[in-house]
Amino acid sequence: MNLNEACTAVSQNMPIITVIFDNRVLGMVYQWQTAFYGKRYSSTTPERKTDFVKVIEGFGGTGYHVDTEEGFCAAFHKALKANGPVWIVCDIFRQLKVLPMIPNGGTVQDMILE
Amino acid sequence: MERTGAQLILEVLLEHNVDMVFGYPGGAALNVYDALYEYKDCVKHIMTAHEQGASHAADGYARATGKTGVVFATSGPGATNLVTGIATAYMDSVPMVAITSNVPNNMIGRDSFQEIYIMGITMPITKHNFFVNRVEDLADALRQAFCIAQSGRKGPVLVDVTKDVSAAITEYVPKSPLPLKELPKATETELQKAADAINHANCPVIYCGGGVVSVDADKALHALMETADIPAAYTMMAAGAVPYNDERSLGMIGMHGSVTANEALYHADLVLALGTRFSDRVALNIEKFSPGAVKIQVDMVQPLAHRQHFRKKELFISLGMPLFI
Repeated sequence: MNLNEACTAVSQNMPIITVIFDNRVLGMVYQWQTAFYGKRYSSTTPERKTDFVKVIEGFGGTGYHVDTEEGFCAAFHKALKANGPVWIVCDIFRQLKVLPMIPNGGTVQDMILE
Repeated sequence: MERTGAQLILEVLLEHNVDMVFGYPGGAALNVYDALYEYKDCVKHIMTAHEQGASHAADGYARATGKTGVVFATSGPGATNLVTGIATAYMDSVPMVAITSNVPNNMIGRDSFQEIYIMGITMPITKHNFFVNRVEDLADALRQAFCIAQSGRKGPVLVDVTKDVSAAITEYVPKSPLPLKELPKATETELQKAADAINHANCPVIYCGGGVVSVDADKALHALMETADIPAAYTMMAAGAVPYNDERSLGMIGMHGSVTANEALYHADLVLALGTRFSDRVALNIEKFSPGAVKIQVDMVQPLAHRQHFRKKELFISLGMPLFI
């Protein structure tokens, strides 16, 4: 929620690699809506058309878009050699969940594993 | 020697070895930014795109260096935009000094252009804050701010300076930084009780948090894990304090923690909580959190009220982590 600070990283020539895992949903809230709110996806699927590679390029930094592991490795090695900020945008499935998870008020016995 | 209030701010920063600040200028902060121009060889200012970025940057800088993060903002929207970064530093006990400018003295309290009562707004998210409308109070308010930010449980302090104060000329007398408040120490009896409890336990587990990182106690923690052969789980705030590849590392505990860490804590008969506070993201159900364990909490501040749920089985030792381990 502070992506505008990429311009600061460009001004300061900061070698910061940002990996964006783009699931195109508000992931954590989406996960809770899946698990506890009957898959009623209220305001978590904004259908953005944002091209993050163009965003970082617009700020004067470098961006790579990858959709395979090999692509990620290649982009990461290039990013390590860069002077300023680099964004690596990885497409991931929106169904991927942050696991394991213990729901609010639960214990290890309530742990969700899959 | 004579200095303007704005120059005096920079002088006090130099007294505290501050060489980098983050911020965003504005009308009420013009005097301060004019002084920054003059002191630019000693104090580097990183201008962000938004004040929220500046307060987050100061917070990150403090975490990475152990020094106090310093952030500047102008009055009104500049000050209110700092709030999320200040709150982050407060929740995570990160030392920060936020210096906001405010409108001239005769405009205060009149809903003036870009006037905001930032002291009131930040009261619940700072350790302390100051409103300075007399230049003779400025230097000591700033020195106290640095002392409070770094003393005991660290955190953010805000100093709000009116435009009259930054413009006023005053006598500057250099001073050394104020001594930090001493950390509490454990008594022999407390230590003995803790040692006895640990020695009697069959499956003790360490649960460590940000306090371990804050006082640089990671080496002492590793020594304790090895000497007493106790595995350790860590919170998000202590990630990195326990090496990932250590055979006694259980991983992160809590809502999204590892199965290993959560199982170990659940079945432990003694929990040694170091620099951590049984927050809702860790002890999701406080009554059933590690239900069969004796809890020893080692921290520099009295624990929070929700501790009462397991008071019967608990021993609180108030002391700095290195002294204990």
